[in-house]
Amino acid sequence: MIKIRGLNKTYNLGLPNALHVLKGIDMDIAAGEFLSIMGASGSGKSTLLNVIGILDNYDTGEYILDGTLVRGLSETRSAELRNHKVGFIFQSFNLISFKNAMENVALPLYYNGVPRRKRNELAMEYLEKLGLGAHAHHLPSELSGGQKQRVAIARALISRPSVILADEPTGALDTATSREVVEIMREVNRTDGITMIIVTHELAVSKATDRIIYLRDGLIASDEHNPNPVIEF
Amino acid sequence: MKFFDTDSFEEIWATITRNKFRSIATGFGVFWGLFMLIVLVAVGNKLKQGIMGEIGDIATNSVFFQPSRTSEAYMGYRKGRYWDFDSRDIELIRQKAASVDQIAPVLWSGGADKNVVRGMKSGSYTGLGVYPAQFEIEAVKIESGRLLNEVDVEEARKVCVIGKTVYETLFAPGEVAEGQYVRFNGIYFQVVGVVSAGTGAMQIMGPVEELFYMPFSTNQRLFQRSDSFWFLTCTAREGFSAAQVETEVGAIIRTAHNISPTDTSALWTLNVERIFNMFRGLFTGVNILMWIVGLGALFSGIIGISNIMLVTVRERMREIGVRRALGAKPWNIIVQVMSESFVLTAIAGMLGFLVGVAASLLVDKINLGPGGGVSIPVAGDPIVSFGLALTAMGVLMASGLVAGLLPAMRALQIKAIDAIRDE
Repeated sequence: MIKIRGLNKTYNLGLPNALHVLKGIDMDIAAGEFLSIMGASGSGKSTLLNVIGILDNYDTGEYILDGTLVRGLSETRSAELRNHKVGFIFQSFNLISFKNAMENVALPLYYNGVPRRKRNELAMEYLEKLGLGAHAHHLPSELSGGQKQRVAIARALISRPSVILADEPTGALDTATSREVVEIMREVNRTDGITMIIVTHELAVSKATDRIIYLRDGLIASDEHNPNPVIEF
Repeated sequence: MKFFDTDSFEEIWATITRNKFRSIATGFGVFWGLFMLIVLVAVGNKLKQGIMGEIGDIATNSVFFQPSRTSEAYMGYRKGRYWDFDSRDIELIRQKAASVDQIAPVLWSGGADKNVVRGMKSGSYTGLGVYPAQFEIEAVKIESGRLLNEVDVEEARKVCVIGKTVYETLFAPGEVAEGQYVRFNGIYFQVVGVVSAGTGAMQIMGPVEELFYMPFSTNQRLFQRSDSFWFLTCTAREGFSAAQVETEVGAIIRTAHNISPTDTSALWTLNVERIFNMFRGLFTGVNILMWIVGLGALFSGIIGISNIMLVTVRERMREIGVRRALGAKPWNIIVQVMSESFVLTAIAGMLGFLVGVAASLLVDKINLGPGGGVSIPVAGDPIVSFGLALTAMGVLMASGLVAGLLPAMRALQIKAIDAIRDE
């Protein structure tokens, strides 16, 4: 599913303040995995996530997503790839404030050229699935943090991506809501078989995943299998 | 990817209405620009129509001549000499001037008090001794009867053509004037026709309605008792310009009367064609000026829209970044920003256009001319022509797109990664 070989990424390459963030990452992630990437701030975990999410490019090495070599793609092509293959969940939800829950969920399908009626139907379906059917016509400002993140999860799911990338998905949520969100992500991973990569610095979140990758100073420090994932907050 | 569909329109509408005051304030610039453009161009057109209408059907290829005091000593004559046209001039012009088509000398007979009489009715009117060509040059309209003809002039008949006002003074409404006799300065004339001013309101000899036209020769014999006259009109033959007539006839007359070729004040001339062209140039200038001013106002409105769109793009960096992350292609972002500015411009501009047209129609009803002399015909070409409307719409479309160009480029530079960063 994801194959990364010798990935290097330096910010401000060639300048005096050059910052070598990723120093040769090798990583294989199979389809349907539920894993977390941990690390202190500055360890390069966000950069890695950006590269995996085709939001950022890299200098050397190779990254193959679902059989496609992601390298030197045009903006249009990478937008297409993101649209079809990657779902995002953000710490601060990043819902569009003037669109209601349903429209937010349907947005990726809009850029995929799905007709309005069809994509709204699908959006409703996903909202129902996440228990938000009653809130479909609410604006983000009328939803709680947990509800917003569930809308965001529905939005990440709707285009049926190969992989969902979650960047500190519980960072802005309280313990109870965090638990709820992680449970949903697990559930989605199990039922839909979508690969789920969570970047977090919360131990409790990583403990819920099957595999934990630690990054330190731009290198993989450890890559462990977690035999007993528990959701404990 | 359609440029315009319900979804994108709803989105655009949502963003425009989200900050109503700002959208209205911004749109006002474009509204005002287009309003000004329409009103200015319409007023310019109206002014042109008005003045050009004045010249109207008057033969624009005519040149008027009038003798004046000489200002140079020449051929043994002292300067400051008075001189007149005479019948010989007409003959000379007829023989020598290749550029001249019609020759129309005019003789005035002053109107003493109540000089025109019919039975108990009377009025004071100016008499004119004319050639038939005079009617053509002045473009008079026949109300009834006929105009004076060559035979009337040759035989010096005591016939007359009277202006409409003269008719109304002397005759009862509906009464047939033709064949009736009226007295002018004590002599009886038979009326052959009644005339009024044509579409052109400019009158060379005074208001047509208040004139008493008689054959040139008749006037000469009855009232002048000399060969002199003081006003002459010549029209250019097909293929010749009025300027050529002016030069050629001027030279003939100067030679005939021993006037220095360089003595410009001795012979007064008025070239209608030149005046016509001058006005035409003037109005072209006015028109261009109004377009510049109007487009300038519109342009500042466009800059306003462009400016506010830049602010909007900046404000919505995060939103645009999220859209990029969710799979919006650069093209989608361009379309979104451009169509937003396009819709704002189009709505504001349409309003400006409509209000501008309404204001122009209002202006159309107002008489722009100075009291009395110049009056503007209300019925004329439509004040805002189809061409103008089309041009305005074209300018509007273009400006909407231009206004969105810079903000769209700016929006393109937003990278998803920068916009959605949580730090």
